[in-house]
Amino acid sequence: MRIFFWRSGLLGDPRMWVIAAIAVLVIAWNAYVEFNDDGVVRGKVIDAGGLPVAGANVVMYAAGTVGSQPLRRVRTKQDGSFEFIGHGQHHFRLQATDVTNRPGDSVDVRLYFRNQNLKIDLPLRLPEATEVQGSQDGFSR
Amino acid sequence: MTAATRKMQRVSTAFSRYRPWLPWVMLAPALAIFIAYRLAPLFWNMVLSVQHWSMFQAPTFAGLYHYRELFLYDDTLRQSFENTLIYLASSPIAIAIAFALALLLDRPLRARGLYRAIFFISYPVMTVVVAVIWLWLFHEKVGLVNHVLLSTGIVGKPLHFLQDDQLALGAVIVASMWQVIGLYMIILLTGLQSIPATLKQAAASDGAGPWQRFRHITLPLMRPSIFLCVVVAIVNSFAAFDLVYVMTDGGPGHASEMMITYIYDVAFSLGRFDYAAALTIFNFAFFMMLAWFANRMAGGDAGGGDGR
Amino acid sequence: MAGDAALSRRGIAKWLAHLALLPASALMLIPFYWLLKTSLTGENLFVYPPRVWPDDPNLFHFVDVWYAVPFIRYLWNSVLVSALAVVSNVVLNAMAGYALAQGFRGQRGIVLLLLSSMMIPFQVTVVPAYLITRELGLLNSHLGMALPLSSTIVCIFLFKASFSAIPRSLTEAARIDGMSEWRIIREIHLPLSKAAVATNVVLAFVWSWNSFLWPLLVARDQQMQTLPLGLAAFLSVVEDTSGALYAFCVMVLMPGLLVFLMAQRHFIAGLTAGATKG
Repeated sequence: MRIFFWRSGLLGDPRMWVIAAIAVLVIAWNAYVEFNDDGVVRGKVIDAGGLPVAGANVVMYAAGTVGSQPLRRVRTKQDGSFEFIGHGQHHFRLQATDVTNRPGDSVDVRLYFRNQNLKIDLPLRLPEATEVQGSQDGFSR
Repeated sequence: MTAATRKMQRVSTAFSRYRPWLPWVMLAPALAIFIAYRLAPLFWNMVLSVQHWSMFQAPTFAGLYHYRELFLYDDTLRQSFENTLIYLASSPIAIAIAFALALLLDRPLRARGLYRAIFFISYPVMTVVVAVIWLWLFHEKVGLVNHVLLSTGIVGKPLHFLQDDQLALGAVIVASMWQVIGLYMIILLTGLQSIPATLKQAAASDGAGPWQRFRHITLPLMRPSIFLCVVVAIVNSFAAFDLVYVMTDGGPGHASEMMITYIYDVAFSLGRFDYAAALTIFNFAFFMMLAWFANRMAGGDAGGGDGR
Repeated sequence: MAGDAALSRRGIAKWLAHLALLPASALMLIPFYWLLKTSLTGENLFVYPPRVWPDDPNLFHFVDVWYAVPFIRYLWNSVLVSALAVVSNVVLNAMAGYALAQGFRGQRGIVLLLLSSMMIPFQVTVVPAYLITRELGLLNSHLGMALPLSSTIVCIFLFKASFSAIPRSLTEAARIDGMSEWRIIREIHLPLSKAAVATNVVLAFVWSWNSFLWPLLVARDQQMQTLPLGLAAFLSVVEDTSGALYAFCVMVLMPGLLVFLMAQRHFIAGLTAGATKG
């Protein structure tokens, strides 16, 4: 095999190198995807004062449109962080709401491949806590 | 005569004498394709066009029924035919532009290869992609064409190119010219480069000015190349299907309908294979006439022969 | 003849040529740039006035296309159909060209037949060709899509010319040695006709890769569609409102462009020779 490549002068041909480079890129990309597609999305929820909020809701909606069906729902842990696992999406929206279902920040997330692992750096803020009879459907954002 | 020579004489006719079936075996597959997909369809079209064809019954003889409908009652056909003519009439413009480009490139410029590649790159692009690109460029709100026209003040309001009766066909023609000019240029450039420089130098030293040299040396010698471009243009008009299908679908109304898209509609949307056959024969007759004309204009000789 | 005056005239002429060629090149390339820009823009597509640079460039339109459309399937179909067309083109055309080059009785009739077939444009044969393909049971198959494109008359003549240039003595010597005609073609004639083979490959590839009307008629399922069909289908679904459409175009262009850049010289030679599409 090697002799074939050598003799036919293929190794010197720049076009073979282009094809080889493309093949290498494809393999490398697929390997990267394989190792990073557990669908883990991590983030943090904070309140208006900047303190982490435990027990807040974070809802995942499909493909960034307002009013679409919620896919997953998760509560934040003691330190205000939340985690989705195995979501299977490449484009979704996360909406944080507090315990009374008042909406906080929402973020539109696009991934490079389905189930890409992601850590959301910017925390989702919740609005000021006020003594308001919370409306149930606070999707006015 | 030695034994070897005699043997050689015998063997040299071995190809067809001892095995007369061999050439036919070799030709058979290619011939089969052409018979099946070129000749038979042509004849089937002729037969179909004088039949009433239906999927559910056996076809019956119809005489000139379809041709009467074609010539007397079909307005869409008139429109399609007109549009095809307009499309064809635009090709001299494209060829002329390509000729100018070829003339510019027919000198030892350093970036010549680069220019050549740049002009030619639009030709191997899929026509569907060309259509989408120009669809977007001609967009009535955010298209680049409108943007340029508005910014330079040529028009006051953005033009709805693809929804306009007058402009839709023009838009398709522009897209097609963009795609094919590279090919014309390459053909003409090849032709230009085959003109021996000594001829031009001799003429120059005889006192002929550049315009005279062009008219009496370059142009006549370029006849085969120009003829080739014309043939390409004619064939291309039949291939405009992709562009029209994607950009306008014949619309608005039938303002940009071409013969080939109309035939497609009649056959595959309306299911009238028999009428479509009549239209096809009409189209083919027109094509043969054009080819014959082009041949005459090229001086009676079919350009460069069979595809050099 | 030479002299300063003539030299500077030539220098000015070059400069003028560039002056004319540069805007022309820009005109040719701008549509490509516009396509690229639209496929990369993160902004809403319909922002007026249209921006020159992509706003907030990102690759997410490409991700959308990847998950919206079976791109690999389309690519595979296109590759398969083109491969079929190219291989059968080389084989069939070489055989036919060889037969013509060697000469046989009835040759003139065949040549006439071929030349007249060449005059029949493809679009004229579309309707019955569809019916024939249906009769053969080849609808919705790769073979059905490739078959009409499996032989090109222009290339037959190309091979004939190329094979005729090979000295007869070579062929005769091989025959005396007892080689079969097939081996003669494969081992003597083809290697000596590399240019014709290359031209044939390029022509057959371009014609089958870009073909739209014929696969449109033959492919019935989405699973069988080739790249141009997939693109047209996507367009009709999404209109022109999505950046994904333009990303799809870029993705579709990539293989073709790659082949073009790698085989540029053969491309141009092949397309000039085959411009009178058989």
